[in-house]
Amino acid sequence: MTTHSVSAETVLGELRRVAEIAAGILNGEEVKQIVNEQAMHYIANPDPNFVFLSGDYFDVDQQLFLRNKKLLLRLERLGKVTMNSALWVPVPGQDAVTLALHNGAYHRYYTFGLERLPTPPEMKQVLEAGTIVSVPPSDDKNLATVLAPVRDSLGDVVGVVELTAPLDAPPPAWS
Amino acid sequence: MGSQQVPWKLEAGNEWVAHDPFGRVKSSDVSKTSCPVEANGQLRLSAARNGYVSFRLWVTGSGSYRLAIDADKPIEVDLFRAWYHKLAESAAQRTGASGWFVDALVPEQPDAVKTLPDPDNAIGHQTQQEYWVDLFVPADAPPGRTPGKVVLEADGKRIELPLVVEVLEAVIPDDDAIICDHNSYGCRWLTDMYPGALARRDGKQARWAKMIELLHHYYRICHEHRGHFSNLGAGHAGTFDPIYGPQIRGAGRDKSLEGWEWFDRHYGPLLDGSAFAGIFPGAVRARRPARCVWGVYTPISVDWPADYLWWGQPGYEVEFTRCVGQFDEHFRQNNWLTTHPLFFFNHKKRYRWYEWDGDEPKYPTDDKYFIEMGRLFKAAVGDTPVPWLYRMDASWQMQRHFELLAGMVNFWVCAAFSRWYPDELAAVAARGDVVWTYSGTPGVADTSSALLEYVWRTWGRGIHGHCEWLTVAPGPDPWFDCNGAETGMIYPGERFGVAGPIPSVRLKLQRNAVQDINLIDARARAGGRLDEVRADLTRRVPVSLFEPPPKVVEQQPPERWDSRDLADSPDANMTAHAALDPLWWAPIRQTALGKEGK
Repeated sequence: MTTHSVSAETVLGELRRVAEIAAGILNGEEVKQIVNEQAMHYIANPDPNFVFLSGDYFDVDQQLFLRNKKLLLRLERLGKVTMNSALWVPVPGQDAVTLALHNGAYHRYYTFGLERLPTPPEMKQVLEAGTIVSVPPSDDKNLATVLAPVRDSLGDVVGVVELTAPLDAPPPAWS
Repeated sequence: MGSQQVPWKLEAGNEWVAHDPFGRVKSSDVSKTSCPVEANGQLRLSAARNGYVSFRLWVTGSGSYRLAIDADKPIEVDLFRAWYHKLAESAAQRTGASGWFVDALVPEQPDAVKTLPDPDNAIGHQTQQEYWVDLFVPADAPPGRTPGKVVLEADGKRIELPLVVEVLEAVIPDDDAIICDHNSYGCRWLTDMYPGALARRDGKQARWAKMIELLHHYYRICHEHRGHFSNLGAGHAGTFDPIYGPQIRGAGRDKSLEGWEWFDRHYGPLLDGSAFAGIFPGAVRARRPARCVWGVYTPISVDWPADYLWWGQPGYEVEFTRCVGQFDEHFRQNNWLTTHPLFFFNHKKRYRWYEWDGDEPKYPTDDKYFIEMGRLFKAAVGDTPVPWLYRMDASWQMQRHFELLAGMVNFWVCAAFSRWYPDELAAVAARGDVVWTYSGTPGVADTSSALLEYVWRTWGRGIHGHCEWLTVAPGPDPWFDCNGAETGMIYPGERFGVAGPIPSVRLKLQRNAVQDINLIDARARAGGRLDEVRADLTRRVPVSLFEPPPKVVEQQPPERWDSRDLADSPDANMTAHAALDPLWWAPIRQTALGKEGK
């Protein structure tokens, strides 16, 4: 076992502790309404001839966005390690997710300008099984991540909280 | 490489027409007219003082040669080898062009032995090498004819092209009539562009110091080319590297800024002008007077210095006003009272960090944030002598924002939509606000004079500046697999042994155009004829300043427009003027030099 993985295990443990809290307190009824209907339509139905359409129409429910952003900020600060958070929601009718909101500069999945992402296997596991999933660092990403389910009032998993922590140097402000 | 002997030839041409490495005129530069600089075996140029006159030289042949250019004092000569960028296949498909295109300019030592084909550029069967020549005419140069010559020596033969520079009485003002802004983001891109310089720096401190040094060179190269460099430190999340701002200490009532060392090292020389007393690598000397930089971004964002966790609550206002007040105080204490620090938001909600657009807002629901930020900002700095500007990059809603945010936002950087609003732009400029436009940049395969449209439009519209949103990122391999370099007209010089940025044809063309505008503007103002001269040139210059909006703009509110509705009117540039002659700037040059009709 390398030093790197020992450190990752410690960090993953702390992320998992915060993820359990996140899974318990985020309200899926709110989370699924952050990205508005029109915005989600253009995310789900991109026009290859007009690639900026989904950007043109991206809009959110500001109150819900802000409330959940602040909640995630508070959760980040509960942790004993530096971490950032993100909230992913499924794109209706597709095996894809889109970001509803995020904080900070540490991300496992988000790349600048990303509009939709084929659901990563570990995120699919969270959405389907409703369990918390740990994602250890990989060769190309020296990050530790834990994913937590967000449930609505019917108990359905309608979103995924991503908590990601760096295992080395801080990221650039601009990539 | 070909072994066939090509006879040596030396030719010169105006600055707007490029050749390929085989002596053919760049297809998009083929003109129906001509603008020769050579007549009867002599190179003849006219130049105002305190500026440059430029021309292109073409050496045709094969084998080794020497090229020398002399001009009598006080004229100074700068020689640059034009680099032929090989257009990548993807760029060729996108632009419809292919092959090699000149742009980057490598400083050359006259008299050095050169070779055709150029082994560095590695173009099979290259028969011609293009050079760019800048002749600098100092402000105190005596008017009249100054002789010089271009000499090509090869195979024991000597080809001489005499040159005469007619130095005019006119002096180009030091202060530019318009600002050509070169925008950039952060400093991490320097790592890829200057691997040698940065790899040698062990430890963070040495690397940040080198980053600052390199950034200063970018400020300098822009300044020397009558442009302005803007470098935004904070990313969309609000984070920034330590050279862009002080550190935060505490929270709430006790929050404060401390640790200004890196910020001062970075910005101090820009804010007191001393950075511009130095030169950028590859330049002979600073020829423009050192000045405080016109404006700088600050690290202020929605999440710095106030914590966005407290947005909408008393703590946010307390943190914001305390710390932005301290930021302002730091400027006052250092007597940095000339440069405009910018209060500006660059985040977009589509990137999902925040619930409102700080940049290019589209939805009226975002208005309240700008208004609240304006209130907080006023509360933080009061009637400070620091010349802050509250900048908004206005887009979809600009017509409404001009009114809604009047007296609050006072620096408008406007999207191409501004071409529908002549009266509104005039009104905003008339009330004393600073007005710029912004766009991308025509690439290396486009008509060489295409980027001058923005120079003309800025002055023609009576506004103050134009921002090209990214000009320092010419792509991962601009040399042999060029993506068109639409985001980079300033190149890293490291591969040529230059420890900083090197200029380009586009940068030089832009500089020369600004010189022309300065002359025209100064003469018109001195004669009290500014409006008359502007109207006259507007009639003569074949580039429209404004145009009527598409139907959707009249029928729907901006939040219902989209890039599909507006597909016919994106970032208007040369593509909208396909019939524009590549030499369209030449009559403006004639006007600038007082030679209309000659």
